[in-house]
Amino acid sequence: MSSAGRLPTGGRIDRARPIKFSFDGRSMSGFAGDTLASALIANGVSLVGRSFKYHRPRGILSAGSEEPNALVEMRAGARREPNTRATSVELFDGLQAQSQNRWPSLGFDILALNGLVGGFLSAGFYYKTFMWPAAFWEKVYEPLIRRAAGLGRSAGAEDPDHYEKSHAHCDVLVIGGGPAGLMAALTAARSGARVILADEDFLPGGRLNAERQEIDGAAGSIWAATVAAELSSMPNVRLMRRTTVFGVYDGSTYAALERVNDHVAVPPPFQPRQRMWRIYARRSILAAGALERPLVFANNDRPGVMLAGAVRSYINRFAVTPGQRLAVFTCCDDGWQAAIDAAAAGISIEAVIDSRAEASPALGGELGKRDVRIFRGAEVIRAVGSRGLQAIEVRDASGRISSILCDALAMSGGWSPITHLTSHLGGRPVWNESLPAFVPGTLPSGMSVVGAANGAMALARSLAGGRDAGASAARDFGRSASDAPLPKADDEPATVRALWHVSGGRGPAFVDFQNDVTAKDVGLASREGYRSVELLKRYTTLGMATDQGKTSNVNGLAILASELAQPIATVGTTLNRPPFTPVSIGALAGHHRGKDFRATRLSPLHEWAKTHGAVFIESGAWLRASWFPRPGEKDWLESASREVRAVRSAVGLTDVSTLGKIDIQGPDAGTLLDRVYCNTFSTLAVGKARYGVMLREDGFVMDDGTTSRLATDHFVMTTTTANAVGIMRHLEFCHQGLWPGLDVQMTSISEQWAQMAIAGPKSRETLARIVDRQHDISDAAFPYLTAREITILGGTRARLFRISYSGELAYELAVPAGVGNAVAAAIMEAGTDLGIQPYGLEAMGIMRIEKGHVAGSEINGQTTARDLGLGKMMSKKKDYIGRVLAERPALAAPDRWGLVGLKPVDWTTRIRAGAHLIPIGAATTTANDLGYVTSVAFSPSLERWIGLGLISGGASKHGTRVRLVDLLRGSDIEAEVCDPVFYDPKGERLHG
Amino acid sequence: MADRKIASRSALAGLAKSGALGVSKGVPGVRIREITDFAAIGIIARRGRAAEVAAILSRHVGSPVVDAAKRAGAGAVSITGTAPGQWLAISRGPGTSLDELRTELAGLAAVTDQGDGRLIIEVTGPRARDALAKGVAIDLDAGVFKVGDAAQTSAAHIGLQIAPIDEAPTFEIISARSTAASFWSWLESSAAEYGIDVA
Amino acid sequence: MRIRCPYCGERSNDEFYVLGDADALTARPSGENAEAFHEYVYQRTNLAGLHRELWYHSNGCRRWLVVTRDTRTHEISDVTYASKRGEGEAA
Repeated sequence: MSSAGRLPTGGRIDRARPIKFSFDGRSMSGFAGDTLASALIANGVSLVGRSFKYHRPRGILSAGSEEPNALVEMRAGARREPNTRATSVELFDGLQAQSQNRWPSLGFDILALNGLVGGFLSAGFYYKTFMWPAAFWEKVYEPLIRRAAGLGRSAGAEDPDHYEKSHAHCDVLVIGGGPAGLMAALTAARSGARVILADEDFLPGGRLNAERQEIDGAAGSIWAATVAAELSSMPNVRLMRRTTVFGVYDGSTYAALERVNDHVAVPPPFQPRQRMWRIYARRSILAAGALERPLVFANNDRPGVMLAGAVRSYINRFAVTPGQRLAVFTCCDDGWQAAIDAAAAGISIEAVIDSRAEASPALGGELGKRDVRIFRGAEVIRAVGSRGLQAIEVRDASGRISSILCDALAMSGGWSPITHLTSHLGGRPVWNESLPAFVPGTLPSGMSVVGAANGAMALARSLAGGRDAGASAARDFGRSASDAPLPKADDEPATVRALWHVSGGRGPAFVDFQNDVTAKDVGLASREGYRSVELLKRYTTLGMATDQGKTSNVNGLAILASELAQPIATVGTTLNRPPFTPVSIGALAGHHRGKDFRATRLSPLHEWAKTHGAVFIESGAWLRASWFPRPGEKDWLESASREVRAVRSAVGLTDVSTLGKIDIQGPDAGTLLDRVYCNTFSTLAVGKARYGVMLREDGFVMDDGTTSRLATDHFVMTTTTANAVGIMRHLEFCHQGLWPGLDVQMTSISEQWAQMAIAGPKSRETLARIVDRQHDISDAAFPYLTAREITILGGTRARLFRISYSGELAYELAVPAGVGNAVAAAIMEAGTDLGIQPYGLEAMGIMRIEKGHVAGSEINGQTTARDLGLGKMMSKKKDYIGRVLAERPALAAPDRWGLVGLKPVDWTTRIRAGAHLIPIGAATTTANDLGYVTSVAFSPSLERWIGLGLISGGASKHGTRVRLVDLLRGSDIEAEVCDPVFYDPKGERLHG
Repeated sequence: MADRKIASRSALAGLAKSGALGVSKGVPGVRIREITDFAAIGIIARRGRAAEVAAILSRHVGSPVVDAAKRAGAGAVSITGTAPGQWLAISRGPGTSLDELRTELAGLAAVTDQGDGRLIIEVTGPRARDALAKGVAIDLDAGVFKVGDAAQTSAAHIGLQIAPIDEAPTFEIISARSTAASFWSWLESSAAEYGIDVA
Repeated sequence: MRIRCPYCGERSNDEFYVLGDADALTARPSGENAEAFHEYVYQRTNLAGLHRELWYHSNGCRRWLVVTRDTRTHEISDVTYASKRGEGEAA
């Protein structure tokens, strides 16, 4: 294998387990324990992608999830996933990665011209340039910009993997598995508290795996592994690797993404790719660590320029080196460690440049003896090279500029605590001048912050902070934390003097690498008046996109502060919001996609309908039988028309189980019904059913349905399918919220009863064959609007209601849901010789339009009972919800839109719901709009198209003509306004 | 027409076929059994009668029934609190009924038949908690949700009632008939990685 | 957000349905005064601070609750049954 950048020894990698992968089609090899980034470095790859706007060559900046540059497309085909950070991708066998945002190839990119023409895309460029003409946006500018400036491509195919969600509860959630987090988790766990430790890495330990610091006299990584092993073995601990806590929500709720199988090519059977966790934690300890800041100088984006901490990660953890000749540029003590570690690994150190004249002579230790050039009070003003670093230009304390050859530069601008999660509920981080960095301000309730995340940028302090926070959380739960001795460790030197911007070099000095925002852009924005940090962000795009400015925000606002000559504390910072790192849509959806997008409700007659070949339609959450096609029928209309004829001439059976059914009992049941319906129910005789209309308190119609009285203190209500849940909630509100003194008990029985309508002149004859002998259902014994409990088929309990939606002699029969299919089948069998047919939603809809019954299209939240011709139902003898406001003058105005029937003058013409009603001869304008068509049907009974509509003036318009204008479908049809009851206007058939 | 036997169909009939599902290596992590023969009634005490109703329920089930989200009863009959002054009574076994209890409660409580509208399953096995946690948001930990406790909550946007009925642990889950297919789809997908045995 | 239902215990707000100002919604006027009904139906205060609001535990015990919530912090200081508003008792 090629191991250009691989060091011969060391690292927390498993050299016994080589791994094959490919990058841009080139086969490469790494080891278990590598990230894609470390494996690329091992294979001598330094150019990894092209930048967003200028298509500048970019390499690897960091060794973690903050990476702005090394974004790749992972995998192929339907699993292709753009904008993945190579620095946090765990290497696996068969991994395929492609560079992105380059054309035609990574090495030669035509659009890199963007970068050559200087300030071409400077701050606010889009706003300033592509302003005119407006029509150019969609066709010219936007496609052009999208091609030039973009990130990776999505797969464009359905994701074959599955994702899921889960829930966890704990006493203490520890976020981050570095030294502070491990110590906190261990202390809390040993006290017996329920602990979850979530760490985004696949190897717990945080910086301990990247540094050479010792704990208890051994490598820090060994201590981390020992602690992780102890935590794993404890039953009260859940150690979650590869898990990023990405959001904090109200009520101590945390969201985390577990990358269960991102580290394999294809998840094992039945395992999810990723799992999203909702964690309920009584306390949380944030130990997220810190992010190193880049230094801002000319061409600081050249591949080979890397964060100093990342250089140490690659050398110490992954045993790879980003270069053979390394220089270090720092403004803090910590940067020196990169030179020391690299030297120890046998890498040639070309120079250490510390911007601080006062930098301690002790820094660097042995480096002096190795003849390393050391500059104090000096700065790197420019990186030289294009696709890779070749040299740096250094301006020394005396102002003299010299060039130093090198192929890698480690830079450190100091470290910023990862305070993101402390801000998700609105807490503002506060500026600490001595770090200098933002540290957590107001914390979410129950959270404490330890280690580098709290500004403790040294190992011994981090361990102590972790232990104290763990012990304090344990005490909060009344547990005593044993005083386990603190492991022995030293605090490393950690002084910093801020260096926000190095001027004087030729070339763009990048602040935000991902968005190609330079120091010049920040200056320009501030001079143009974008002086608020929030405006700066929107105008320049600083801090946007997948990395959300993890490496750029502090530098950006420090430069803004210096432009404004204000302290950083005054300028403030943008507020971080979830998610901390990108979360895939698949993980957010979890199980809920495709047929599981939401729960589907199936009727207890579903199997029966399926047996009869029903075509189902989604209706709210339900699947409902829409029509029952027979061989030779060409469309739904033909089938539904045949079903209507069967009902009107013989008998049909349809499923009405989806109606809401509410059992209402108690001495005050009638009183409650009187208050919620506009008509009266307390006077309803036992054994009778009545149609009822409910209003909202604002006077408009809310719902309608039939309510029956089975006993003095026992009613059964039906609601429309669509409003079933809402009406139950409304009734509970009326009872619990308005009239808790009423002795009423309400229960939803929608699930318990299968309900079917048996309709048609032969319905009684059919039913009589299944109803048990002792129940007389003759017209005399069981007249229209009778409701009784009966038995059928030899003792099966049932409820029979003589009510009719179709307008025919009809019944609704309710039976326990478990026997629904069997009863429907028995009725079909009983009615075979009478010509019984199943009918569906479409036929039901046609018949209700023929009868002028209102449904959801008419009860649309904007119609009153009067509008719908139901005004007479509004009782004048009692109070009820909606009574007072229904009497408002505007709701009783004569020109309100009222329900009418509509017949096209040419009976063969199909009319459409939604068409507007325009006077004959008038212009088609909004001002002339008289109303609209709410429902239409082809009536097989009348053999013509008919419709229902709402028209200004309502019934007063009967006999007039209007145009039905449908501008969307391009039709303009003359129609007569008529009574909405088209069929059997006297209602004789239902008494048959 | 002459008397005729008609068959009742359980909520999961045709959906949960018995046998192994999901990962088939080793001992199944989750075992699921549908309870098909049972009767259930919903009970709501009349105003001010909750204590009397609880007393009758206690007598009927043979252990104390309280007005809280608790499940009483170790035998065929169980009573679970569902809301203040409200309970769901279940009697398991072929041909079982709760008519006797219904009679005792006359005048004290509103009683409704609920058995046909419900799905009852028992979920057990070493990974039962892990599988259920993928939808159930409440804390299922043995130290928190104990035998005798019960909760109404939801999984995958589907309402359910859940109670640990032994320390295996076995969870009794009661949900609506109409959403049984969607519920099963979620449960199967959640438990598949641990291996499922459907009784 | 987490709401401690007096019957079910602490649950996430996705188990609940929210209606709004509890004081306004449960103070239904009596009589014929359309103005009073207009106030009752349409007028709501939208305050920054402690707010008593109605939440329905739809995926739980189906009780209407009065939740006292600080609209600035979402901190909930009190939860009671709506039916315990002084009149009558719990259902």
